[in-house]
Amino acid sequence: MNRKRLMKFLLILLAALLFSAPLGVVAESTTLTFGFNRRGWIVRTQDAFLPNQTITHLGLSNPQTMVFGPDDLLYIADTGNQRIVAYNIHTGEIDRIVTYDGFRSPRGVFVTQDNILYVADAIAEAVFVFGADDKPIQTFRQPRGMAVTDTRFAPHRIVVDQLGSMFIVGEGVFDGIIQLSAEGEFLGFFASNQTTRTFVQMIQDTIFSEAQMERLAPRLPHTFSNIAIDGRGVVYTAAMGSPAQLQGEAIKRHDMAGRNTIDNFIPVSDVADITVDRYGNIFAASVSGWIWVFTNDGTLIFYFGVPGFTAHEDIAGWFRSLASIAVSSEGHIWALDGQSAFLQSYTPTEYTRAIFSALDLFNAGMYMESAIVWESVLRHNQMSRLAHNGMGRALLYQHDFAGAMRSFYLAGNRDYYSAAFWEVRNIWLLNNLAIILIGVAALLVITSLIKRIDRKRVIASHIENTRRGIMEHRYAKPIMFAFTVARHPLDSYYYMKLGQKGTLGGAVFHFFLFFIAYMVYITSRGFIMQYTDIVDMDFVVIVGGFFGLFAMFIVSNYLVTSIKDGEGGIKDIFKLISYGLFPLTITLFGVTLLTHIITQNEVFLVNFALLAGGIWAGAVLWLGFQETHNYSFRATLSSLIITVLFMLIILVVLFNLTVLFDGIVSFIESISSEVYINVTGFN
Amino acid sequence: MTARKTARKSMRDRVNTMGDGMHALFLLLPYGILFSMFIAVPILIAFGLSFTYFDMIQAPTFAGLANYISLLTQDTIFFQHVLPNTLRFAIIVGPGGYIIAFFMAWVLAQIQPAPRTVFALCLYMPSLAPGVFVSVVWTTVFSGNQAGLVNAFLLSNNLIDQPIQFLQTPYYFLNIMIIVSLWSAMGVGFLAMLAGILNIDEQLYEAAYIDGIRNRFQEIIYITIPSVKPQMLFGAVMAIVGAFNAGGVGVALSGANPTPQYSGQLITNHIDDFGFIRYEMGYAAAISVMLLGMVWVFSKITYKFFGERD
Repeated sequence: MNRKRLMKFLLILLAALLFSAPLGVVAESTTLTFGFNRRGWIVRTQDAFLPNQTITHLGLSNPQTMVFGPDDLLYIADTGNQRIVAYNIHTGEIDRIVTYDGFRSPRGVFVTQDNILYVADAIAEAVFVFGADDKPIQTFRQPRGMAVTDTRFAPHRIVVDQLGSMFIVGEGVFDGIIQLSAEGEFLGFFASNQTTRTFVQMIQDTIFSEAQMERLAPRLPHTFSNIAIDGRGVVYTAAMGSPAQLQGEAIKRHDMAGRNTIDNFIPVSDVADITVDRYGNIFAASVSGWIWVFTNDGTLIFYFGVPGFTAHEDIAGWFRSLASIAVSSEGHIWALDGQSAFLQSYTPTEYTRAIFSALDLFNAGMYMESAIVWESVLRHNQMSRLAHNGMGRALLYQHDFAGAMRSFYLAGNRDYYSAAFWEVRNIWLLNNLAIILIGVAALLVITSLIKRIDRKRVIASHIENTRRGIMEHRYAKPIMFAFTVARHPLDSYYYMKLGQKGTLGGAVFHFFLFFIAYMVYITSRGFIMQYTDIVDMDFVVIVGGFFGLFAMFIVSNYLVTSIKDGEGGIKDIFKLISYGLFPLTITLFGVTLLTHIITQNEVFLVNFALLAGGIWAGAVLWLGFQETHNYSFRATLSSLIITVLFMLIILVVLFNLTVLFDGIVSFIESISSEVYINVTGFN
Repeated sequence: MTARKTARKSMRDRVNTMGDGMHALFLLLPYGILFSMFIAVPILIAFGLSFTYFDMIQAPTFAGLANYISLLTQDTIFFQHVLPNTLRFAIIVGPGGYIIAFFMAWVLAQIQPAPRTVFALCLYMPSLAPGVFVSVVWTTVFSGNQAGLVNAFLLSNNLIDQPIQFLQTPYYFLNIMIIVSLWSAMGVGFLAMLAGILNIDEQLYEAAYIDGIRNRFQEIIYITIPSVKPQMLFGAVMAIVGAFNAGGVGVALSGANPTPQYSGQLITNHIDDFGFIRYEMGYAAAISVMLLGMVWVFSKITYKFFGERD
C-alpha cells in the first residue's frame, strides 16, 4: 500500500464523514432522524418531521388509541374517562365527546368514511357502533361461532373495511385477528402469528422428556398489538415481542387470505400502533418513543425521536409511553402519549414531502417525474439509500440502464445493479455480436489456413523453438516450473526434493505472485461480488494476517514434521507451498476479471472456479507434503492437523504475551510515575 | 462364344479398373445406407430446418438466419435462465456424475463377483428408466405436502413450521434436479469403466507393489487410471453428452414445461417448449444446432483431457 493510495483513502474517509454529518439540520428540532446509508449502516439524516404543537389541555386519562375520521377529526379513545373525544386539529378545540352507558374501558376506536363510529371495549366485551349523530346503532357481543374456540371476546383494537367487515384484535387471543361480518357473524381468524423456537427451546425439544416439557411455560405466538387499514381495504397489523420472536415481522401487510406480503426485515420490536397515510406509507409508533416510517413494501425510509440519553419531559417530541399515532390528510403526524396523556403533532419537512411525492409518482407509474423528484431529494441528502434506489428504479423503467447502474451502485443495491448491468451487457453484446462472430470465424479460418500452408511445419517449429527458448531461459525456467508442478505434482515434487528443479527464487516469485493475486481478489472484484468497499478494509489486518499466518504455518509445519521424521526443511516447505499455490493464483486472477463481466445469474461460475482452483491447489499441496516429507497418507493427515493445532497454540500464547506485556508496561509506568511524584513532589 | 467371353473379360477388367476404393464403397453400402438414413439425413434436415420458419402444418418457408439472430438477440429467457441453468447443471452433473461413476465402478471391482453383479444392476437401474423412476421415487421424496419424505422428516424434527413446496420453489428446484441426476448418473459409462477395471491384469498391481507403490491411492493413480483410459474417455464423453441432453428430469419432477419460473429450464426443455408446445420447429431446430455445437465443443475439451497424447 503506497502512501498516495493511503492518502486517497483518508481523503475519501474524511469526505464520507463530512457528508454523513447532516448538512441542513435546523437548530429548532429537538428530534434526531436516522436512515440507512448505502452500506446498510444507520446514519443521521436531515430532519424528517419537526415537532409542532404539544396539546395537554384535553383532560385525557390513560388514552389508548386514536384515529382520524373524515374532515380531519381526531377520535381519541379516552379509556380512563370512559369516553371518546373528537378533537378538531384545525381549530384546536374539542369537537364533541361521545359517551355511552355501556362503556367500561373503550380502547379501540375506528371511524368509517360515512362517519360511523366503532368502539371496541375489552371489559364490556363488546363492540359499540354509533351513527353519524352519535346515537348508538348496534352492539356486537361474543359471536356465536367463536364460543367454540373457547376464547374470551375482549375487543382491544378494531378496524372496519368498506364492506363493514370488522377486524378485531382481541386481548389474550393467540389464534389471530377476529374477523366479524357487518352483521356480527364470526367469519374466522384472519391472520395468525407463528411461534418461533429459540436455540434453547430446540435443545429442550431434543433432550427433554414429555413430563419435563409439560412443566415448561407453554409456547404461545406473540399477540397483535395493533391493526390498521388503508384506503384500499388492505389490513396491516403490528406485533410486540422480543426480536427473536418477531424475526423482523413486527409489521405485516396482509392479503385477502391473511398472509404477510412484506418481505423486508422490519427492525422494530415494540410497535404500539401503526397507521397508513393516503400514499400507502406505513407509520409505526414504538413504545420507547420513536416514530418509524416505512414505504408500503416495508422498506425503512427513516425513523426519528428524542434519543434516550437526552430524554427529558420538557423536550417536544419526547414520550413517556408512546401509545398511538395517526396521520392527517395534510400528512402531519399526530402522536399520543398514553401515560402523560398529551398529543404531539409533527409537520413534515420539505425533504420528507419530496420523498413521499417521489414514491407516490413512482407507484403511479410516472417514472420520469419521480426521477426528477428523487433528484431534489438527493440535493437534500446525497447519502439517501432510498433516494438512490428510487432514482435507479425510475431510470431502469425508463430504460436508462447505465444511469440505473450508477444509482444502484450508489445505493449499494446489488440485485438491481445486476439486473441493470445485465441489460447494459446485453445491449453491448447485441451491438458487437456481428464483429465478435466474424472475428472468431476469421481467426479459425486463418489458423486452419496457416496450418494447411505450413505443411512442413516451418512456422510451427519456429514458434515452438521460441516458446522453448523462453521456457528454458535461466530466469524463466524456475518460474515456468509451476505449470509442471500443477500438472504433474508427484514427479515435480520428487525432482524438487532432489534439487534438480525449482529454485528458491522461483518460490519467492510465486509466493509474491500469490500475494498479489490475493490482494487483487480482495480489493478489486466487480461490484456484484465486492461486498466490502476498499475504504472499509483494514489493510493491516489483511496484509499482516496473510504474512503472519503464512510464516506461522511454515514454522509450525517444520517444527511438527522435524520431530515426526519429515524430510523437508523450512526452505523445502516454503518452496512446496509457494509452487503448490499456483493453481489458486491463476484462479484468483481469472475470477477477479470474471466478476467484472458477470451478473448474479452467473455468480455460480465464479464459485465453481474458486472451488475447482481450491481443490486443485489443495490436491497439489497434499501430494507435495507427502513427497517432501516422505509421508504416507495417514502421516500427512496427522502432521497437518497437529500443525494447525500448533498454530492455534501459538496464537493463544501470543495473545497472552501481549496481555502480559501490556501489564508489565503499565506496571513500570505506574512505578515510574510514583517515583517521579515522590522525588519531585509534583502531582 | 468368344465374343461373349471377351465381353465378360472386358467387364471384369472394367470392374478391376474401378479399383479398391469402389470395392470398399460397395462393402460399406449397408452401413452407409443405415447411417445416412437414421443419423446423417435427420441431422442435415434439422440443420436445414433451422434456416426456415416451420409450424408442422404448412411447408417450411425459408427464413435465412432469422432464427439464429432472434436466438442470440431476443430470447432473454434463453440467456437469463436456460443458458446459466444448463451450464450449472452440466458443470455439476457432468464431472460430478463422472467421478461418482468411476468411484462406484472402482469400489464394485473390489468385491466378489456375485454381489458385484447385484450391486451393478441396482446402480445401473436408475439410468434405464429415468422418467418413471423420477416421477415415482423423487416426487414422493420431495413432495410439497407434509407426506413428502423430506418434509415429513423436517416437520417431525421441528425444523420447519410448514411443508416446503420443494418442486415448485425456484430456489430449490435446480438443486433437486442436480441431486436426482447425480443419483441416476451410473449409466453406460459406469458399465464401461467397471468392465475396464475388471480387465486390468492383476500382475500389474503386483509388479507395482514390488516397484514401491504403497497404498490404494497410488494404485489408482499409477495403474488403474492409465489402464482404463479408453473406457474413461468413453465415460467422460457419455457424461458430458448426457448432462447437456438431460431435460426430462425437470419436467418429470415439476410436472410442467416450462419448469417453475424457468428455474430448472435446460436447453432440451427450451427446445421442447418451442418445438412441441409452440410448434416453432424452425426455431427449435436452431436451438438444437446450438446445443450440438456446445456438446461438440465440450467433447473436444474432454478429448483434450482424456485422449491419448503420448
